[in-house]
Amino acid sequence: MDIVFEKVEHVYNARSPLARRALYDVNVAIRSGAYVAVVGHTGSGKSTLLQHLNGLLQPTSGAVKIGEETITSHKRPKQLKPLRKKVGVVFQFPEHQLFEETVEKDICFGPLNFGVPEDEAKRKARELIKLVGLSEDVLVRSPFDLSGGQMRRVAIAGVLALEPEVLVLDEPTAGLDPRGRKEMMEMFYRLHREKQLTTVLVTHSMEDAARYADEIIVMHEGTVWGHGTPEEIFRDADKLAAIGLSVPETVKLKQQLEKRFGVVIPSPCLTLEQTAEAIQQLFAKGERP
Amino acid sequence: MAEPILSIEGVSFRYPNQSDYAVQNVSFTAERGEWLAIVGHNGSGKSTIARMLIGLLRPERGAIRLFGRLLNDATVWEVRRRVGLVFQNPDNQFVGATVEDDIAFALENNGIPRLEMVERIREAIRQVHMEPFLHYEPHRLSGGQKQRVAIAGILALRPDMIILDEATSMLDPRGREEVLETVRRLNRQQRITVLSITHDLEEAAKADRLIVMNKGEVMAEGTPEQIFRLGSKLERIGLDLPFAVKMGSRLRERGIPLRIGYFTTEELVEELWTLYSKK
Repeated sequence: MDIVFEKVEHVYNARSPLARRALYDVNVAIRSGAYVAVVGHTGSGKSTLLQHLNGLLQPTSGAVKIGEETITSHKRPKQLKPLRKKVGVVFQFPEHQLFEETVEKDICFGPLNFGVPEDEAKRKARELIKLVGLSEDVLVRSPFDLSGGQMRRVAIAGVLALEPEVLVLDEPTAGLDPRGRKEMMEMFYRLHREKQLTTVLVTHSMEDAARYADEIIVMHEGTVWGHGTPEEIFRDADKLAAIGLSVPETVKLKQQLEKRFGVVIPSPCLTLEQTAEAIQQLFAKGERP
Repeated sequence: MAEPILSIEGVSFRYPNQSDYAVQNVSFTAERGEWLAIVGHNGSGKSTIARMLIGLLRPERGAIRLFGRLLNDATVWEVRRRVGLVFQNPDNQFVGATVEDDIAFALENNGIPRLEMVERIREAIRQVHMEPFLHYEPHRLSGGQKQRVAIAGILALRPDMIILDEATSMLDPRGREEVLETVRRLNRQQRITVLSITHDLEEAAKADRLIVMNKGEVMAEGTPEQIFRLGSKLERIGLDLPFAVKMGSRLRERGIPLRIGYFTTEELVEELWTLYSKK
């Protein structure tokens, strides 16, 4: 599903003395099937932006188009139900949203509310629990007896149970250890490809943005500061630093090498492998500059 | 040799109704003024150790000594006054309606006279560079600022030791740097002993010494340099190596004869330059 923001503004507590403009003049398009990372400093507006993707917030002016649906300041929340089914949001610490007696009931809660028959919902729960990397016998257990990482996977299965076309991930690996983080990011990437999802990842990790995203949207002080491929976005480290953001470690290394060696490294150096290869080529050339 | 400020001897612990030990036969010491990091994956037992150190959990076997005295029911209150624990989630440790009230809370509990309280709060807030926020409501602060207020609450009690239990894992990169910078300064200038419990090896690289936990046991102990030489052994137990170490091992695989034993990007660049200019 294509997503288009047109002149979107969002003011919290509009028409009150506490009014605060969180977003302004946001014009951005996310094409169907893309994996897009949204980065920005705390307070840059990325969480506000994210909440417009399934109508949790409505723009105070402008329009958000998601597939066939258009959300404006006039569109009533009652009309947003179909949209909420199509856009699945995994919030930060989604394990805090678990509430049912068993894992199976928790995963089935969404589909049952959208009118899916019970046996169909249960069949889906069995399929999804495996998809998120847990075994079927977890279904009968209380979600509160599971480890933090397992609980998070259950919560994600609950979001996937509605078969969304767009998956929005807000810092999905916060608090996990390095292995858990990597497994979870690989899982989302696999889902993105297998289910042909449009994925929107909000992250502080420039490494993850460089590794997984087709495009990066950089938010700064309530509006879009930059939008491009990882290669384009990470080309200018100084400009990013000026708004409190950094480039991936691999790009930092590339820039330090270019300075020390007095050469230009043509590779964008977005992953460890890409960078290792670029350095190997630099050494293979042999001659000193 | 100086008396260690903390010593743990053969400590084991099991949670109720569990047959496996969360911590098994763990021993280590910390010197006064040292920054010691305990690293390990989620569930390796590192947070259990932190909870035992302030008497929230009681070891099944073994002994814990702090400041030269055995930790038990008689000494636990003194230990809690001298050891401050910063938890993972900044939102789970506020009780006061303002930053000032929050720092005052522990002082009130310890019966500090009002005039001295005012003085100690002012001093603590200055040490974490949060003076302009004294009358803010905690929920209006960023994650890094909240953790600094939590640290100020500890400093007001004039502690000998600060334990950071994954205290930076929920912060953004800037917040993480703010908190670590604050702790580093306190460690250097006031010789407060720091015990940081973390799975972030970039954070652990700043410590004087590391203890690596795996499945409840101590797997290795040494300086950051010694520990990072373990390389893929650390990756196998779910930890991530510092960037320069990972990059170095990939370059060696490609036939670039880098030496082992550096862990900053700057050192890697110099090492590559040395090799390159010798060609």
